[in-house]
Amino acid sequence: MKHFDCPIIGRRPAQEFICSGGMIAIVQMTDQDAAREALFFGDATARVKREWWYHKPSRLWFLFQRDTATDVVHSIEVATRVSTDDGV
Amino acid sequence: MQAMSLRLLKYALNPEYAEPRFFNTPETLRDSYDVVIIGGGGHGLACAYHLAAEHGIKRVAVIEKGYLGGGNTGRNTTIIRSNYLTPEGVLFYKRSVELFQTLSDRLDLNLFFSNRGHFTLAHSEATLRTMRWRAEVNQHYGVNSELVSAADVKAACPQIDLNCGGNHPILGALYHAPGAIARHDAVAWGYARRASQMGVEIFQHTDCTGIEIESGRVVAVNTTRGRIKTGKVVSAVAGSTPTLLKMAGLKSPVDIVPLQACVSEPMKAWLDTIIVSGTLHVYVSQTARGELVMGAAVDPAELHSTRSSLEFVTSLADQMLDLFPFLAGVKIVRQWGGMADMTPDFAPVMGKTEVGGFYLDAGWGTWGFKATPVCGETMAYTVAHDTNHRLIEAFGMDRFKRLAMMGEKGAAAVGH
Repeated sequence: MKHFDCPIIGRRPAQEFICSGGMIAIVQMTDQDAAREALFFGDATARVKREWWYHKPSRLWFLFQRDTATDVVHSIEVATRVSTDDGV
Repeated sequence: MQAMSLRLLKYALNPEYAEPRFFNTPETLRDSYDVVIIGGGGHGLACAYHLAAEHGIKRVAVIEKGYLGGGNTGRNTTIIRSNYLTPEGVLFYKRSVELFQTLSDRLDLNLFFSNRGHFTLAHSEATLRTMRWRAEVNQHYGVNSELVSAADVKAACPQIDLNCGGNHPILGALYHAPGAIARHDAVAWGYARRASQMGVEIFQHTDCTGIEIESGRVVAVNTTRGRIKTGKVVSAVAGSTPTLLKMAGLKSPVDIVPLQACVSEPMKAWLDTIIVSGTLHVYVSQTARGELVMGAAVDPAELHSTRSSLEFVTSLADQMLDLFPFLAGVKIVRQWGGMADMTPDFAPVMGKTEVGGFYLDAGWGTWGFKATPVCGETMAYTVAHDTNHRLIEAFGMDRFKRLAMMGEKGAAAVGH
């Protein structure tokens, strides 16, 4: 079975997580066209991406660096207010 | 007896009586084609067939990076149905089912089209409510679809455990009499043969490496066999759509997520119908060979790979045994994965794009095989007239910018 080695919670089975997708650029929501573009369109080709992952039992959010071609996870960090500010 | 064998051998070896190839395999590309279709799966080949058969456009090249029908066409669980939720979806898939019903005759090939009836099980009151809604929409548009009781499910499929091991008792089902299955690879081969007979050229093992655009219009396609001048390109590459969109300079509303399936060892025919459970994340039918074909929800995260996983097959087996405990001793003999084009609203992305002459047949998520014939028909019309066919008007890529979503999630897939 697949596991992830995380800070704080240690090694946990993949089934305990929900992937909430890649980080998207932060845009001014007053600019509706830009907001819609950022929400629904992007580069969806295979590459290393920064993604939000939620750990259900601990209710912690993590940021993964994951290669979407190979499924290899390069790094996992706890998502904090600071890490959300750097967008993509 | 001996004389007959010798005669047979004579015919077999005589080049005059050679069995014709299923489709042409020209060595070299021409300099230009009227239309280049990228993707030699069911959708691309059906589009080529309809372009030649109905619109007289025969200078068409289909390029396929692997082998014909080797992508998602050969990886799905072959279910054909039209009991969708949105009016646009129902009308679109209704036309597809109609085309499928006579497709063996049209293609002069036995597609093993088999009308089975299709039960979508309800394990909760909430699911029953959505099913009533679906049945109403379906009936309004002339699709045979009705809510039935748990007893009706049991009558059609006596082997089912209506209690599901006590975990998720079955309360009723949405029954869709036209639900069917067919041999998926035969569909691709049948379209390829007919298209080929009319002059369409098919190039396997030919990768698209770039799309040339001048003043907002397609002018050429670059491939591993050389450059092709063309004013019209159809992208029918579910699983690789983001890559093709990037070549055309467009951002993608599609994400790639694996969808896995498996088959059991063959057994005597016992399952006549198609059984689907959104709650248990399974769908199952039995092929003419006796294998159970089983599928589940998409994988939990984006991945551009056709690998299959132990997690998939163990969780699917777990849910299957809730429905059919007697299968405990049955073996899984094959499992595989495909790369699905997932869209935010579980509807396809089709038709014209911002780039002139670049047409999209994408966003086929977990619902593409059943749409093969209608995609061929509507995409060919769209390409020939440079106007979206009325059945696909609602599926344009710009709908996300207008927030005009289709809301097909409740009827397009399991596991949500």
